[in-house]
Amino acid sequence: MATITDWSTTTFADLGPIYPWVGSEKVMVWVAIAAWIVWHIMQARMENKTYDEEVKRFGDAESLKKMVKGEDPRNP
Amino acid sequence: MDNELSALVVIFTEFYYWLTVVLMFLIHIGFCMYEVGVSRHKNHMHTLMKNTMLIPLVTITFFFFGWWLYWALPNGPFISDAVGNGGGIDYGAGEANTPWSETMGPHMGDRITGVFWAAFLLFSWTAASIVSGSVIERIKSSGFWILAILIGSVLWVIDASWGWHWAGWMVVKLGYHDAYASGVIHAIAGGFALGILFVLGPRIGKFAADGTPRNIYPRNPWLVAIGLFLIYTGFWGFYVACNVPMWDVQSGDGVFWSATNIYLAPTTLSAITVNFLMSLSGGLLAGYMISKGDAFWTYSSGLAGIIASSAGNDLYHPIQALVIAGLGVVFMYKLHYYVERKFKIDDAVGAVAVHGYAGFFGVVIAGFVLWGYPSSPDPTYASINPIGQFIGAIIMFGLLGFLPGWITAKILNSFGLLRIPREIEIMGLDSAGSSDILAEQQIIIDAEREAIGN
Repeated sequence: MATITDWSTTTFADLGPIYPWVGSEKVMVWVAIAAWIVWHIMQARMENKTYDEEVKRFGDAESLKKMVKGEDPRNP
Repeated sequence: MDNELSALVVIFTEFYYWLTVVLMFLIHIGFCMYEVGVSRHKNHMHTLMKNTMLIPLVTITFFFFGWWLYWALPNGPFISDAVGNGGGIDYGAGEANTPWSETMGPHMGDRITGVFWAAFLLFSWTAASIVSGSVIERIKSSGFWILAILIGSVLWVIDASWGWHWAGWMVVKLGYHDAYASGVIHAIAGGFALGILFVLGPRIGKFAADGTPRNIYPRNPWLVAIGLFLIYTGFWGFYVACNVPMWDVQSGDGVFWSATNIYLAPTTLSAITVNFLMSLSGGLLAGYMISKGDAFWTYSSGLAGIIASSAGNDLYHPIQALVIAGLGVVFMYKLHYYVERKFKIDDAVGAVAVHGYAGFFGVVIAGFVLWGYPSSPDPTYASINPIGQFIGAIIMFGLLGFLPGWITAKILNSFGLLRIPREIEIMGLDSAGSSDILAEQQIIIDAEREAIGN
């Protein structure tokens, strides 16, 4: 796992990358790209669901009129 | 790194760019404060989160592909041999800057790539953040973040590769000169925002039935003022990051170390510091007069003044920087109100004007004032000229800014990912999802009443 196991015997002038898993960079990048795309899909669904629910519960004309007046129809 | 002097040069350069990153972070803090200060109470948290979350999204996508684009595309579209390597995509230069390149991680043979990447990334945040302010209070986060990635990790990077790269085709062929990014950051981001605004539409109530625009005043002018002061402060880092700190500029025999601009042409840190302050002053003075002392526009004009002079602030005399900044502010202020009335554009923070129009002006005016200067140390490149700068400004604002912004906004709109529902706009974006919070708060209030026997 470790790229470096002993600093005392290392010739630094010849040393390149020092992070773990050297050689598996492409795998790590593609996994990260997949996670990024999934994040967008989940976020868009979450946002649309929140708006839809809120409009369904408080989007009627009466509730909106109250909100414009500064009242909050959601207060129990 | 095998002797103290060469190690000192490398580590100084590494530290130099690191410091610019820290300073430029203040730009983003400033933009967040500014936007929240402008937005109404019912939209504060959404406005904040919209701008905050572009940080991770632009960061990871700039890592995935943005950095590679900068190094791979200097030849431009259909331009062959702009950099003398055969034309097309420069896979060789791009390879060292892919996300899987070993030099993107801790590497004993490279101390500059990472910190240089970070400085560019902070420019990316700025480009996206400029757009963020103009669309507040009615855009969906999901749509905005896609747009933020497009401008921050793709479009501005392409324009930087073309016109803000020592061998970009616009520099080689057009003599394009844009030392502190009037066009490559500001004009493109302003144009992109304008394209989105055409599709997004104004906030409810912004225009009267007869089309007369109404002011939606900043809710918290103190937050706006502090935000803009922080953006000014961060701009010091922005300017310094546009330079190369130490470079041998002497061609032929001999050695002469100097700071250079991004094109490796000589300038001094001292000169750009004076010009930064003079253009800030020119912007503030002109903005105060033209807006009749309006605080919002005066502060914004300070920024617009810097932006209007930035293309040539590596070479201008301080008085030239001062005057150009003032003229740029008058131009952007007048154009803002003309476009607002004519096209019913609701730019909540004036970002299109401050960044887009002032940036466009800055690129064009540099073509006249710096006419005949070399655009690069390479004598085979075209020299700076008005036509090259004008074409460059059109490319930045229109071709890579407005057009992709308009097209992408249209696409997002067709998928229902651009504008929030009308009801949510009336309720306020912070209201969405807060019903459960209100119910929980009521439970605590009831418990407290019960505790005092009421």
